Amino acid sequence: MKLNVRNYYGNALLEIGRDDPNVVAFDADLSNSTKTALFGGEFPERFFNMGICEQDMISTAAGMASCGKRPYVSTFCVFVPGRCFDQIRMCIAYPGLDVKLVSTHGGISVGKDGPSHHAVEDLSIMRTLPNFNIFVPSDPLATYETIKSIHEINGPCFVRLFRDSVERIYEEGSEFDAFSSHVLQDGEDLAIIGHGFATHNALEAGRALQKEGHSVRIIDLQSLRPLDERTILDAAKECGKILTVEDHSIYGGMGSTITDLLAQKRPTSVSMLGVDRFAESGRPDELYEKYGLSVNSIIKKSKEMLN
Amino acid sequence: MAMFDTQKLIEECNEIRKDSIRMTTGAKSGHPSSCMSCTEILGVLILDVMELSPEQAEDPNRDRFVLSKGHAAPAYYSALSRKGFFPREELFRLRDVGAMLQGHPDMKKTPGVEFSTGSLGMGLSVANGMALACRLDGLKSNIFVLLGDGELQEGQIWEAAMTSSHYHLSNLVAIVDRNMLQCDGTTEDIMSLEPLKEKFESFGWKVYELDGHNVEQLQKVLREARDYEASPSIIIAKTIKGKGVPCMEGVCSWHGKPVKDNELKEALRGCDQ
Repeated sequence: MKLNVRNYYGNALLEIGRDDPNVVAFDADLSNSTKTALFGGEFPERFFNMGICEQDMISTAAGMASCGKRPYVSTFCVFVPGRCFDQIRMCIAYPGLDVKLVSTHGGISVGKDGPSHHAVEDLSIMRTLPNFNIFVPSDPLATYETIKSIHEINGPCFVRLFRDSVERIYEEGSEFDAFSSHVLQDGEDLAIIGHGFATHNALEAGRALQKEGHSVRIIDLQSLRPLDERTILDAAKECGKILTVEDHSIYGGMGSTITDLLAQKRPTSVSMLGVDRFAESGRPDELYEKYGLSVNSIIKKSKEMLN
Repeated sequence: MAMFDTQKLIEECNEIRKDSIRMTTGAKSGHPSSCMSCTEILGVLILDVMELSPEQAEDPNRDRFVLSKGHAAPAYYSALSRKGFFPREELFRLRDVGAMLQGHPDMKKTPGVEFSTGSLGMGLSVANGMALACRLDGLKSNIFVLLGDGELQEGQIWEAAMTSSHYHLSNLVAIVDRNMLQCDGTTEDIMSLEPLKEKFESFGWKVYELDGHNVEQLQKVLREARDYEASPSIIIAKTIKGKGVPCMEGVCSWHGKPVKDNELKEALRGCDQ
């Protein structure tokens, strides 16, 4: 059954809010989409709808954090960080304040709204900021556990969620470490690394390749910072080849994070599947096919690398 | 709290003005003329009006201040040092590597600084966040924010002006250092702000106007605005950029330019006349 990860964010936020009276939530007129409305319904006095004023929202949340409140701030990925880089840099990252940015609708999987709403630069932007932890959960459990886990951190975090519903990758109720990556399938000839929504296609492709007799490791890179270097370096050492799959720009995103690490610690052959241009309106599956993120595209690229 | 003796406060403010000149000359960089227009505003706020002291630094009920025009940091630092937040010697290490005093305020490095600023247009939003947090906790804190007039051109200021009003933040007082100048010329030539009073009134603010160099007026009106309960308040303080040094007063090209070593004595003498 396909599930909407944003509901798991909304519910985790609600639970955190029940336990911690210092939790406050901000939204910029998208609370029914981001699901912060769930928190707002139960705690109207701690919920601040800032209207369509994302920059003001970021700095206001930071001002609150400076007084000991613990803000969760949500809107679409294309606006936070897209529209608010300076506010995030100056008011949250530089003073290292405890503000959690949970942005939804990342990537071209947003679909028919088109390139104006396809955030594919957000991780590149956020990676440049010191002090920020960055998470890209792939399924309901990962989302829920990420929100619960970052509440234990007193500092800036960015969480990227997506629009479309997905099947579970992690079993409900199982233990999940939000700060590390997860090997979903073991293999020795190629490691495919995905994160967020793209993990699902990576996993399906990896399973198909395995059935055909290839030995392919699948990794879900849940946390971009802190980066689970051990799992990546092990994959580089044991598989020798790495394919990264991300619903994000290949310029500075997850693939770049991997190559930055490997170039310095273990030079390895890496190919990247991701977005390198503005996409267009269309169904997510159609866009993934056209822009090289479909199961078929991943299998094709993997075979090129395996041969 | 008893009011600070006005004559003494005038003298303190003049010392802050002279410190700003000395500090920026020593650092060979900074914005003395931007400090000199808001010297009295900062002096009266920090030394007289605000419930704030090193002993209250962790008291949740303390008043809070945001210097949205972060480039006036030297005057802010001088006032904080006079209030006892850190030793006076630190003032003369301004902008040095390893020093406590950054070119623009840094809340993590400098005691007494409530928020890091320097990129214009963000301070009013930050102050709104503080006002909301204090109200949520039932604190009696007042939040003050000093805005430059040039930075009112930032769109975020008007987003924040809506927020202050929408959330009825009567525990918030904004002050505009209305010196009429920005980097490239007068505000009215570059991107006109007038009619400023009417703009804020139409956004739902209580607006006060005063002479931003008149200490007695500032003592009175800052308290009035602090105690006004029907809406957020803003004080448009008419000031002179470079106030105190005749050759700097109202001269745009002095923006971001320290007084030279060999002109320092004369500049300081100007402040005392």
